[in-house]
Amino acid sequence: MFSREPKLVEDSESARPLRYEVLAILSRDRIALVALLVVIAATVVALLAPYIAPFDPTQQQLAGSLKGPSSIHLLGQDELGRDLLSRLMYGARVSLLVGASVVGVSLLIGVFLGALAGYYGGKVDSAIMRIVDVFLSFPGIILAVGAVAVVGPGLENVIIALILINWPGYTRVMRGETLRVKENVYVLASRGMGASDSWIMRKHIIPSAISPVVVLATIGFGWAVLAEAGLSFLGLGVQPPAPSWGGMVSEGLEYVLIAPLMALFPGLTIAITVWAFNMLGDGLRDALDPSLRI
Amino acid sequence: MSEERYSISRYLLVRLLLLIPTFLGVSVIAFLIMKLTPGDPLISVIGFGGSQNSVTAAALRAELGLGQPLYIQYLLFVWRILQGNLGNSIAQQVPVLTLIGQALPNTLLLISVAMTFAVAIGIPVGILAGVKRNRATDQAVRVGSILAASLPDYWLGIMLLILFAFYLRLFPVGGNIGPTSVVLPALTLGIGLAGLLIRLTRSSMLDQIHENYIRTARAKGLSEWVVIRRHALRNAILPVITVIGLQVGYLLAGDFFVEYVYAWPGIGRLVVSAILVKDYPVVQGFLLLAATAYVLINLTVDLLYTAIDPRIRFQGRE
Amino acid sequence: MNGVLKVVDHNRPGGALLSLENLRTHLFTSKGVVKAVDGVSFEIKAHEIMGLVGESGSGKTMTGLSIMRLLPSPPARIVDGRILFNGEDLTKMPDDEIRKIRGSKISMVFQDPLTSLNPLIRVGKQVSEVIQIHSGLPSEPALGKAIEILEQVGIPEAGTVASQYPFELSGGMRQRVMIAMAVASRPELLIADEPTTNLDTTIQAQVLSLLRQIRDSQGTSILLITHNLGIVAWICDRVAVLYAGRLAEIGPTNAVLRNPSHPYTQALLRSVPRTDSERGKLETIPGEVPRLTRLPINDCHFHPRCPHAKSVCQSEQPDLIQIGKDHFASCFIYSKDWERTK
Repeated sequence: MFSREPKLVEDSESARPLRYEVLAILSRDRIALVALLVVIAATVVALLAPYIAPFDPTQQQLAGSLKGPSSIHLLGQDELGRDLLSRLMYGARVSLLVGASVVGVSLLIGVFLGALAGYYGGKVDSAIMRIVDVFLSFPGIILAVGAVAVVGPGLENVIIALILINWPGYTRVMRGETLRVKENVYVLASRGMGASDSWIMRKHIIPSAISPVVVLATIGFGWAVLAEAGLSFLGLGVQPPAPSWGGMVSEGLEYVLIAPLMALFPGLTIAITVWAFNMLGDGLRDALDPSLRI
Repeated sequence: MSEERYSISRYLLVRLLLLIPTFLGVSVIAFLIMKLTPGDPLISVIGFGGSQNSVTAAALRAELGLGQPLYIQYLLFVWRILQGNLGNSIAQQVPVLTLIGQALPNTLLLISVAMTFAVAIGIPVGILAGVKRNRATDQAVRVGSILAASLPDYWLGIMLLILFAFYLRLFPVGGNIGPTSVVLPALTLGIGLAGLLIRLTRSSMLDQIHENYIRTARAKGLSEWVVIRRHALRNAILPVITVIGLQVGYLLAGDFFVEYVYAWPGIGRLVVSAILVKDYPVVQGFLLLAATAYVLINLTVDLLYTAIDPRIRFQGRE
Repeated sequence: MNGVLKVVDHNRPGGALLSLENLRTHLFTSKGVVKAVDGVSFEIKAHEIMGLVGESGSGKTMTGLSIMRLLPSPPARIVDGRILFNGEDLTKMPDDEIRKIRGSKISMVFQDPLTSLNPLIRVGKQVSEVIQIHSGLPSEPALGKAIEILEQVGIPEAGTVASQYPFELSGGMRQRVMIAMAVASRPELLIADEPTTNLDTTIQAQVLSLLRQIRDSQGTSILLITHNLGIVAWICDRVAVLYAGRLAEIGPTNAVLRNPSHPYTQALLRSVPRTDSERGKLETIPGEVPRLTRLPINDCHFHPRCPHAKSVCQSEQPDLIQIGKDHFASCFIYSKDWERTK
C-alpha cells in the first residue's frame, strides 16, 4: 500500500515472536508437521542405531544371501546375508552426519561472508561476490564428483567437497538479505547511537536476515543427503563394508533382477528423508515469508 | 528502435566481458585438478597407453611444461585450451575433444527430451496448483512435486528400468538403439525437474494472482481463464524461465547418473567412467566445456528475459 | 435485532441506479471474523457522484469490491444483504452474468495505477481488450476505438501512447489510461477507489475534473471512494461516511459538510486542514480505530472515541435518524429522549 491515508487499523497480534508464529503455522500445516516428524525420526534412528539396530550391519550370513523380508530380517538380506534394516539404520548416521556438517559449516561461512559483503559493500563486496560467481558458474555436484575423484574417496573428502560447492549459495542469500535489512530504521538508529559494526551485525543484521537462510539450510540439508548418496552410489563416499544409503542402492543394482527390494528400500529411504527436509523447508518458507503471512 | 538495439548490444558486450573472470576461475580450477592429482601425470599417461617411449615422454613433458614454474604451466595450459587442444584421453588415447564430440549429441538429445517432459508436465500442473490454492489438489501437488524433486535419479532410473523394460517390456533396456531408447532416461531425468518447475510455477502464479492488475483484468469482465492465460501467465513465466535456464546445471548433474544407469552413450557416462579410471584430461575438458555451456545458457536466458519483459529492454535508455 | 432503516427515496421512483440494502461483507481470517461491511444501506441515483468516505479499514473499499463482486475470496464473503442494480440483485447473480456487467455497465478505477495495469501489455491493448470482450469488435477496430477513448480522457498523442507500456507513462497518464479502460464501454456506474492518491495536487484536480466531465457528458453515475473530504467537497453531490463497517452519516454534500451531525463526521472535519479559513489548530480524533475482530455486536462502534458517549452507546446500535432533507446520521443524540438517557 502506497497510500498516504492514515493507516490506523493494524492488528498488533502479529507482534508475537517469530518462533511462535512459525510453530503456529507449522501446526496448521499438517504436511509440514509430518515432514518434521520424519526428520525427527531419522535423527533418532541415526543417534540410537547401535542400540536399536537388530543386527551388526557388517555381519555376514551367507546362508541368507539375497533372502527377502522375514520376521527376523524385516527388510530382507543383501548378497552377503547382511540385515538390510540394520544397514539402513547405520546408513542414516552417514547421511545425517554429512547433512549436518555440510549445512553447518556452509551456513557459518555463508552467514559470515554474506553479512560482510552486504554490510560493507564496495570492494569487500565485489571481492567476495566474484568468488561466489565463479563457484556458482559450475554445476555443483559435478564439481564435487570431480573434486572427490581427485583427492580420493572417503567421508571427510565428500564433506569437504560438498561444503566447497555449498557455501556460495548461502553467501549470496545472506548478502541479499543484509542489503535489505541494513537500511531499516532501527539499524540506522543503532548506528546513530554509536553501536559498533560487529554489534550491529550480531544484534540486528543477522537475526533479521536469517529467515531465508534457515529455509535454505533446511532444503540444503536434504540436498546434501541426496548428494552424499549420489557420491556413494558412484563409490566415492563411505567405503564398504560400512553401510551408506547410496552405496546400498549401488550394491542393489547388481542384483536388481533377482532381488529388486535390495535396491528399492535404500532408494525409498533416501527419497523419504530428502522429501521430509524439502517439505519442511517449504513449510518454513510459508511460515517465515511475511508476504505470505496474512 | 535504434536506441533500443544499441542498448541491447551494449548490454551483451558488458555481459560478455563479465564472462572473463568466470572463465579465469574455471580454468584455474580445471588446472588445479590436474596438478592436485597424486603422482606424475605422465606415468599414468604412459602406463595406460603402453607406449614406453622415452622420446614421446620427453615431448609430452615439454608440452605440459612439467618442471617449469607453476604459473608457466598454467599459461601453457590456457594457451592449449585457446587453441582448442584439450589433450588426449589417457584411457583411450584419443583427443578429448573427439570423445566429447561423439558423446555430446546423445546428451543434448537426452537433455532436450527431458526438458520437454519437464516443461510439459511442470508448467500446466504448476498453474493448476497455483489457481486452486489451499485445496486438496494443491496439497496433493505440493507433496507430489516435492517428492519428485527428492528422488535420487539413479534409483528412479533403476526402478523405471525394471518396471518398464524388464517386466512390461515397453522400452529397450539400455544404450541408444532406437528412437524409443530415449524415453525412459529422459523421463527419469525430467521427473525431478518437473517437480521443481511445478513448485516454481505455482509460487510465481500465486505471486501474480494477488497483484492489482489481475483485479483490474477481472474488473474488465474477463473470464477467469482469460485472466490467467492472458494476464497472469505472461508475468508468472518470467521467473520460471530463469530457473529453467539455471536448472540446466541440475539436469547435467542428474544426467551423470541417468546415463550411467541406462548405459546411455553421452557425456555423463563418458565423464563418470573417466572419473572412475582417473582419466583426468577428460574430466578437465568436460569441466571447461560444462562451465562454458552453463555461462552461455545463463546469457541466453537473460536475453530471452529481455525479449519478454519490456521493462528490462528499456532500462538501457535511462 | 436492530432495525435497519432503508434510506431509499421512494418519492422518485426509478431514481436509484444502485441500492445497497443492509450489505454485510465479512472477512474470515485466521484471527477471527472481520465485519468489514456490517449492514450498510444507501443508494446511488442516476447521474450522481456519490462520495464514500472513511478511514483505512472503515470498509469503503470492501463496499466497492462487493458491488463489483471482486472480493478477495478467501477471506472475504458477502454474508447478507442485497445489491440492487437496475432492480437486479448482484449478490445472487451467477458468475457469467456478473462478468457481462463488469467492465461494461459497472466498472472500477483502482488506486495505484502502476500496479493496476499489466506491466507487460501495451496500454492500447489493455484498453482495447475491454472493448473487444463487451462489444465483440475484432482487435484492429477495437484498438482504433481505444485510441479514440484515450484521446477523450485527455491523453495527448494517444496513438503513440497506445503502443507504450505502463512503466513508460507518468502517474497522471496511467490513471487516465485506467479511466479510459473503465469508461470504454460507457458504463452506467463507475466506482473510483481513491483514484487520485499518490498524484500531485494539480494532476489530482485534472483527474477529478475528468471524472466530472465523464458524468456530465455520458451521464455516468460515480461512486467515489476516498478518505479526502476536500475531494468530496469539490465534486460529490452526496456523501456517505463509513465508520468501522457501518454508515455514520449520509446526505447531500453541502448539508453534511456544513452541518456535520455524527460526532465522527464532526471530528473528521476538524482534522482536515482547510485553506479557506483562518489558520487553526488541526485536531486529531482521540483514540484509535477499534480492532475489527473485537467489536461488540450491539453498540455504536464510535463510542470509545466519542465526546458525547453515554451508556446507551455501549449497549445499543443506533439507527439512522433524519437530520434534514435527505440527511441522516446514526447517533443517539438525535433520538427524542437523548436528554433523559444516561
